[in-house]
Amino acid sequence: MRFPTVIFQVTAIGKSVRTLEESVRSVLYWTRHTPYLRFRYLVWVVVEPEGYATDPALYETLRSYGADIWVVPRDYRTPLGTRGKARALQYATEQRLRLGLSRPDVWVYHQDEETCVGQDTLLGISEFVSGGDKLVGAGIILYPIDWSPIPTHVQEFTRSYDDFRVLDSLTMPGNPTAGFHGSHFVVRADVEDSVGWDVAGYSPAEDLTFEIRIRARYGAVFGVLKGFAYEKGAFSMREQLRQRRRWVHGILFAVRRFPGLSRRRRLTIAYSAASWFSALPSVIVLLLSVALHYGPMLYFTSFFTGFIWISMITGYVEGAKLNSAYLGVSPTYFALFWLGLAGALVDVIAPWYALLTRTNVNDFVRKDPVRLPEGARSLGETGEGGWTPSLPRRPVPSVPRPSVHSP
Amino acid sequence: MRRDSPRDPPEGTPPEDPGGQDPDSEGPETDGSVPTRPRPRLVVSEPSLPPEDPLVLDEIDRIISELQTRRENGTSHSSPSPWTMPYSTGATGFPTEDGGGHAGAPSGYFEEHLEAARTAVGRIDEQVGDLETTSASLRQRVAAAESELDRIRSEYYFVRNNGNNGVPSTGNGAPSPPWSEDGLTGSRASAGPEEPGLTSGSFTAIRAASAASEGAVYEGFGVDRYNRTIDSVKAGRARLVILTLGLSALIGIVLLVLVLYSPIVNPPIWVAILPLVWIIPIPYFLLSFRGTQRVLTRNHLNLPEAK
Repeated sequence: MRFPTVIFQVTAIGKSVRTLEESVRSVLYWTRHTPYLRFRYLVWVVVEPEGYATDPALYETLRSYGADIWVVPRDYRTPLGTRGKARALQYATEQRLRLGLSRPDVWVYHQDEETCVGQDTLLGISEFVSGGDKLVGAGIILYPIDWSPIPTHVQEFTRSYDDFRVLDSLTMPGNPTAGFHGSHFVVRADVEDSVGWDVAGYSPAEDLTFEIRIRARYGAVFGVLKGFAYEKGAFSMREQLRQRRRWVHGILFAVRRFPGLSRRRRLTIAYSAASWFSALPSVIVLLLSVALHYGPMLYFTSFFTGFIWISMITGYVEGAKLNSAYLGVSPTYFALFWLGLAGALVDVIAPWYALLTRTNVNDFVRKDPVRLPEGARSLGETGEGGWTPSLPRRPVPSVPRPSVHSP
Repeated sequence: MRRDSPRDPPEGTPPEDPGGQDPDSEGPETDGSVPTRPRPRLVVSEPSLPPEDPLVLDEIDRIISELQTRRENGTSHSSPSPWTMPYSTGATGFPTEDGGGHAGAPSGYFEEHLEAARTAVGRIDEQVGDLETTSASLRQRVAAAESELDRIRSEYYFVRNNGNNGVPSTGNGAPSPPWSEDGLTGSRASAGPEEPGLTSGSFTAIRAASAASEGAVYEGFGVDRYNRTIDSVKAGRARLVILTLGLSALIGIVLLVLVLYSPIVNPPIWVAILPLVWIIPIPYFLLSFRGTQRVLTRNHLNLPEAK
């Protein structure tokens, strides 16, 4: 018997070179500083030519550190002609097949360009790939890197706590609340390569379609991956809005156009989208109800109204608790409230904004901070924009709803 | 020929012969065994001279005569040189055999070398201190290296035994050293063929990369911090459930009271159906709440501490 091999695969456009470098270094650092890992490893960096051209010297440096740099050829075409990140992922799949790495003893750990690993991540992967009977594992992502007290970063707290919901849903038959990650998940190489990433056209949420395919072919083979991954949030509300827009487009793509999706799963995903879309109307109805002095629905929803409010607040508070151990500063409850409110408004608007505007393969959020906000804890690297798609995880539940009748 | 001192000048020798010093400079008095000038300040203690061989004394006399001849021939030296007498005979201030001594300033040559000797001694002292520091540092490094070797050894057996932490025994109770033939063979057998990219050069570079990345933010992402965070979330789980349900009920009651005590209005139908939108996400939130509690309950999310 021999240890399995884990490929740490960073798939990105590759323009945020400093961020990407840090991710690769985190893997190299912790593989060296973590004893008793039950796997051998490779580091793959899969980037687009324009990303490589941003800083070839840095990529060559990464290569000298032992990382394999794969530049997706400009003229590379998948059989179905997919574009965006799915194209690069499919290219990596084909390379594994070519190298004979598409085997049951090889696993692929997927990272976005800003996904740093820790010792816990590696130990979690080690435990998962060496013992379990699950074929795919996903874990919790924190957002402490380059953190600063701004609405977009506070909003990411809710995503961390929401990952518990994602993990539960993912490991349940049918994935009832449609949760999955585009990073911080490990999948057996032969399983990934058997379903591939190729779809017709541009899939804004390639990870969701990938999860749908895996579930359709292999069933409930998803498990909990212990250990956190460490990422960073968008640096502006505008970028947050664009990021969420892409997620919404991904969900809509899966519901409307993705072939092979069962009716049940289609309904599940559609419902998740509907609950997100309901956020903005809920706010409007709340305001109208107050203005019109009309609140009879509260006879039926009163308990759940409070429940939804508390659940939302819990997302921020518990998310902050999860992240706070890794932050240089902890926001006060007062700051948390106002910053969270601003961040939540972006998420409330996002699905409707997505309906009115279009996204494309170049619609990415920069991850190299150009200018860090006050109080940010970072290495202070600067660079220029462009980055890789993140994941369509439903970020914010919904929005405060019911109204009260004024006496 | 009588000499009061082995270094007394021979008869006929001029009193001043500073061994190349400027004749006009202030020189020592040499008119007797009693010093007429203050004794020069010497930091070092004066050594006592052993009995000297008459042949040596004769040789000194010969040299002095030779030097005197040279001086008379106009070959005086303006500065000390290796082949001149270092100081004027009879003016050294060293004790004589009868217990007396000659006072007088030593030549600049003497002071110069004395200073050089002091400097050399000082440097030796510093270097001895440096050696002690270096030695202590080396001891620390050796200890660290030994510790790392222990870890390497442990890791080696871990890999060799496919994940079992037990260190194999050679039969006499002592574990096989990893560098033994047995160990090397086992290593190759268990490691299997090299994967693409996993070369020794790569690992060297990886080590360099690791060393170069000191101080990066991800170095704080250790397993102990992860476990503490998970423990913190788990510890507050029951309280959170109670708090969520309790506050939800409280808010619901307040809202109901407000509705009951508010005036009844009959809005247009399009307004009346609007609150239906509030119901849409309720199942989602319930599932999320249940799921979060379930995943925390069912899964042991902690990880073993890294050794």
